[in-house]
Amino acid sequence: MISKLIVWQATTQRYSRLLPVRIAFLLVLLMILVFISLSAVSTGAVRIQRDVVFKVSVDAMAEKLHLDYDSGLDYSARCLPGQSCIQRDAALVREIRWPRVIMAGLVGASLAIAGTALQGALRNPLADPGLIGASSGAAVGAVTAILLGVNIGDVLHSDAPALARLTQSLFAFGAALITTFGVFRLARWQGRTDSTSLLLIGLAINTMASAYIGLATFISDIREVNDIVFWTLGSFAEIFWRDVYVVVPFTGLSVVVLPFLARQLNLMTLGEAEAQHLGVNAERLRMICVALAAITVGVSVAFAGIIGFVGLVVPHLIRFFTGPDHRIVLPASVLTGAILMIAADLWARTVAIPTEVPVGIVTALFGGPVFLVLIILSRRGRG
Amino acid sequence: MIRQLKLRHWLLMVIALSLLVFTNPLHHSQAQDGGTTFPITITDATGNEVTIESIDAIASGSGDVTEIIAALGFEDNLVGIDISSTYPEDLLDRIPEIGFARRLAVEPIAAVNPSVFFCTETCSPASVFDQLRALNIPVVIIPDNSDRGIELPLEKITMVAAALGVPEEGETLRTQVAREIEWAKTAVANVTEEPTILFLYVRGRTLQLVSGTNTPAYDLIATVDGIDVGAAAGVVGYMPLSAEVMLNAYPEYIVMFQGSVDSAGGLDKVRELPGVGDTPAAQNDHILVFDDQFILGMSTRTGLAALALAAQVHPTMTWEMDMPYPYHYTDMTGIEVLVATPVELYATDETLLTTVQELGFHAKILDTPVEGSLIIATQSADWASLREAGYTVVVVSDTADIPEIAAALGVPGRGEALIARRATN
Repeated sequence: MISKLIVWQATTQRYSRLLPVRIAFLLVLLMILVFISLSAVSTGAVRIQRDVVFKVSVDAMAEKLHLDYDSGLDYSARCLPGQSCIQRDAALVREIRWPRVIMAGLVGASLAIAGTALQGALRNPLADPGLIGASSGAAVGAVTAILLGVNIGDVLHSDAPALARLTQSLFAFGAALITTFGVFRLARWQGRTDSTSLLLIGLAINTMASAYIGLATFISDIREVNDIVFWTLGSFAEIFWRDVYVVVPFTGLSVVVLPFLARQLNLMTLGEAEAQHLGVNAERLRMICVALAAITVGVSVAFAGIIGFVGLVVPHLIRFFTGPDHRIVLPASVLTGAILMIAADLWARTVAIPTEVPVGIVTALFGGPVFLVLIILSRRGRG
Repeated sequence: MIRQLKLRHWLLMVIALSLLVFTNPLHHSQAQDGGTTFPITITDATGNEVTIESIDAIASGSGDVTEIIAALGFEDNLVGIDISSTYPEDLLDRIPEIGFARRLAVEPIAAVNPSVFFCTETCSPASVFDQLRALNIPVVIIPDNSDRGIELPLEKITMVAAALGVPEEGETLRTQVAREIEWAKTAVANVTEEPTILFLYVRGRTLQLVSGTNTPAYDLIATVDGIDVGAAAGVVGYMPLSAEVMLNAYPEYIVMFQGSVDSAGGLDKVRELPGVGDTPAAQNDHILVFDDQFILGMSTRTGLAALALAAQVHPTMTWEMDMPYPYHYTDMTGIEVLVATPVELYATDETLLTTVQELGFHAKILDTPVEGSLIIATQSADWASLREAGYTVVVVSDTADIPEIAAALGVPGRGEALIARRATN
């Protein structure tokens, strides 16, 4: 009881002193996020003047929020063949770039916060949404939907491509939840969950999943291979507003709930037994974190495919700057995950115009080296 | 004096150039004025109703469609094409590239501001079409499904022509391509062998596929009376290459894309692929390499592609691939005619015309012949005055049979093939 008090006092005192610095840190991250979002929206194969992009964005926001505002941009000009026009540029910014950028931000935030929560709750710096089976499970679900050729559209007598993708997303989400639950259930032994065996079981499940996807790639035709590559390497190329609306509540749930668990996650770093003594229900905390991570990551993968390394690297990156306090690491990882994912997607879609690189390749390309550097630097810092 | 001449030379060039520049836009307005007025609405291969306001700026996401658009005379309306648009050859040097048919992205297409976007059923991802529609760019999907067999190019042509508002021109092109496909079928009508053929697709070191049923390769091989040993080995669609599959198929001929051979690193590297070196095809140097879009593009050149393949796999084929121009022929008027490469070929009546066309010529019925033409005339036609007018005229009897007409045209071998073809039909 006394030790709990001491820890509590220590963290509170340090916290109050650090609070302004941390708020400043978050504000800086927020500014970077706004900056990178606006850059991403103004950049692409179609060249649109920056002021047009901003006016269109402001008009769109005013319209969505029912505000009485008009930027004075003239949308009435007729579109002539072979020439750019405001109408089309506006539609591009509103209907294609903004949903894409926002989705990238949401998925980046989801993966990062899920990674942070898992690393804290499992007390293992290698925990990653991918390692508890959420990502590979989702991919298995999507690939199954592709191979079986199931399509909600068949039931609804519609052949809109959006419905085929939605079917795949539903399969992905369902499979992500089932896989994570399965991993968690297998790791549970005599009423408690062992973190190490949880990760090892996750690893085994991942191996099985990648074997399944490999087999699927092998037996499927060229067109299906394209779809499967989308799921295993990730892409934001096919995002519409309706997808964003689906993802927002799930990401929002994690972003809102997880920071409330920050203090319990901090206590977990002392050791599971110690945390138990300090009144943390370690088992329940783990279950909540894993469940939230599975839901958030499952829905992200369902719309954007598997995007590796963000969930693993971002928490380490933040901790390198802020130290291990989850009260700052959790919100900072939300912002940083969003920033990095938007930047990665921007690079992925502009580096090889007129084609796009799968965003998962970009995150792995940069995430791997960054992770190595972080490990080496933090070892020196300790040494 | 020389200086003056130079100046005049320049002036002439400027006039010629400006004429070119100013007459070009006339080209498409002609097509519009002559036929349908825009906007036009058509139902495309996916069953969508598409309204096309203008075809002044066309983007094509697939090489086969680009080929048809160009063949219909709308080459100058193209503002963006995909990387598989390799025919006509110089197109990719002149027109902006918008990606690759199977990996499209919305922005590079939107960047060329097309007034209409064409692609096929095999283009992907399909959500790009939704995104383009959100930008008010009409999307026309052309059929590209292998269950339509060798007729597929014809369906593509009809739909592209309808979307461009030139159904008559489409019909002409369709007839021409259909006729060329017929030639290939005729050319193999009197062959004795049944060659075993396998199509091998290679992309680098990682992707090697053999094809079977439900593929354009299967349809092409069937057209030239070959046996698709991929299909015979039970392959449906495409299947990864393995030594077992290759030796099970044991083809006498392997058909490959030039692009595949290049990406493999040359024919020697192809021979090192699992099982390939042990096939009769590799041992007898029967690995046939064709341009990708030509051989399996399923577009305007499919008939010629089938003919080219037939010539390679049928050593007993009598159908002449190369014309014997110039040749001497003593016709029934007793005159020895010297036939040089004709500008156009005309026939004086319909029955004669049909036979000439079936013998591998895009001949026309005689109206007002252009200079340098060859006219094949029946005895009862007014061949004497045509000859006086300076045309090359070959006269055949009113009841001329296939051998006589074929001989008159310098292609007796094609005559033999056509007799066999008519006998089987």
